[in-house]
Amino acid sequence: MATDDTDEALMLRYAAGDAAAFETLYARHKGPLFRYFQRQCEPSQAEELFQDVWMRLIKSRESYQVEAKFTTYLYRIAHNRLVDHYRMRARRDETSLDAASEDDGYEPAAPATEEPSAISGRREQVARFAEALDNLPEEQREAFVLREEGGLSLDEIAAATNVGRETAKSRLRYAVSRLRKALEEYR
Amino acid sequence: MSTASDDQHLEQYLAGGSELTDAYAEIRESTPALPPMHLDARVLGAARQSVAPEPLAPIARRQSFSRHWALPVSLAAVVVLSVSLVVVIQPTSQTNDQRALSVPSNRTDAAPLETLSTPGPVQPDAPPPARKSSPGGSRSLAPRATLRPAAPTARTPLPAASANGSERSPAAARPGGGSSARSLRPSSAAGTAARALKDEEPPRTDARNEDPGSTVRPLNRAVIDAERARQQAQERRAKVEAEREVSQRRQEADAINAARSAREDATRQALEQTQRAEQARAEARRRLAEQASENLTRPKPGPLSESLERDKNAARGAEAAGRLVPEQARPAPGTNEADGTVEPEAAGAGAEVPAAATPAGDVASDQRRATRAYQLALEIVRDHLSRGRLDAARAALTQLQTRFPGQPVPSDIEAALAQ
Repeated sequence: MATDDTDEALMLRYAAGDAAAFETLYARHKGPLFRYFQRQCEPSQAEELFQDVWMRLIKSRESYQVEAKFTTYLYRIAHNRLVDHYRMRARRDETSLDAASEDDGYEPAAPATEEPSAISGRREQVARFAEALDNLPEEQREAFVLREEGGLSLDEIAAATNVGRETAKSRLRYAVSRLRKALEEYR
Repeated sequence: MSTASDDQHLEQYLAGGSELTDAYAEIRESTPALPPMHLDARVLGAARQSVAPEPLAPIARRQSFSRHWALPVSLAAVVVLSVSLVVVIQPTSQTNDQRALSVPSNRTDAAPLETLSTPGPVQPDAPPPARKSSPGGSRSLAPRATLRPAAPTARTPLPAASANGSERSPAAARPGGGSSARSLRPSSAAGTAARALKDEEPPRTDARNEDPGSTVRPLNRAVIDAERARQQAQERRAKVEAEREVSQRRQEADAINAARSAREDATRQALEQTQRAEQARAEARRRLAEQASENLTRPKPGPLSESLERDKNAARGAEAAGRLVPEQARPAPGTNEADGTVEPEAAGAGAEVPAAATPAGDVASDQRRATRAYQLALEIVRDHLSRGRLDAARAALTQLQTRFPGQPVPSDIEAALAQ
């Protein structure tokens, strides 16, 4: 029974026509995937991208084959969709992805502890951490979020983002270094 | 920060329990980000719809069935329709062709037409060559096109015929059959068509090959026959007009050729006349020269008057011949026509002609003229000698002695010849 509860088994069952398996799968991954997009773009766009990823997954259910971990498969779809979104935005704004994220005035989901009155020492530290996370380059932030939200390993991050393992490791290393620096500065 | 410490921090982070993970967990807890309910409903609804197509299954199956069988069924329908159309049209066209060539025999209006045909045995199946004998040649589409829409109307008189009490019998169905079929009167249009047919259609001698089953000739067939006869008459008329036009053009061409040949004959006659005149003139000139030379060479039995008279006659003949040519083309007297030089003898003789033509003709003038001719001949001999032509001088002297025998030869000439 434990074998049947894996993501891959659930996806196969859904591909065979079991809608309940998809519900389980969706309930398991909707939060992390939604936060993945929420950390990368605006909330409204995050909702759109989130829905698109699940629709693509539904559409490709008949051709699904277990070649990798389901999360890797899911976040690869999410990464591709995010890259498309970045390209469209860059084409629209004729700016780079970094500049676009700054010019849009996009403020990633700010913690509720941002209000000065509510900020205590730890919360302020977390707020600074969140700010540092938002200021990370997109690739480094994506690698860190994939690790935190999806629980992906280095190889899985590399597979999901279509890069080599060393590239993924380098991105994650830079992200960890910068975030640690942000935490230590507050201390 | 060194790369080694970064790698160490990364290893600690990947191992778990890192403060970064704790900090991110606090962020995640403080901002419980979950998709909205309507997104959940939309995604789950799409997932259920994609994997649970039970209500749509029959439709899909029906669609796939229709998609699968649409092409074969349509092809089969096309084939069946084509075959049925061919089967229906072919006997109809054959019957129409046969009836177009046959003359109706069971109609009152068509009765005069029967007299045009020769009586013969009835042949239900007329041979196809009968169609070739028709002047119309190949069949056109027009009669067939008019035949098909009118077919239902052609069948309508049948019940009426039965209602009139004229039962269809095999005898009535045959050509020249019973009077019951004749009692069926076609409409005025049919009568007109039949009359037109009588006027324009040539008498046919082929056998009637009407279908024994049809006792009444339909109206539309009579109209078609009349139309065909009208077309044939038009074709004949056009042919006659074309032949007439061709004959007119031929006559015009003949007239033009005759005029041209007459012109050529006249030109040829004028040329021949000119040539004859030229020949006569040349002949007269030649005769004059011969006579002149004869006069010079011939020994004169009598006085010089006879030879001079002969010269005059020759000169008159030459003048008469010269009248045939234009005055300006006539050469001057004593002029060689070939090179235009003046011959001494001819000049001398010609110079004497006007004097000799005078009616005087006395002996003194003749002697004077002979003396002058003798002197001229001597001058010619001397001229030859002065130019060193001894042979010519001897010949001229011989002629001189022949013409004037007894006349002494001057000593200077003898000396020159002796040298």
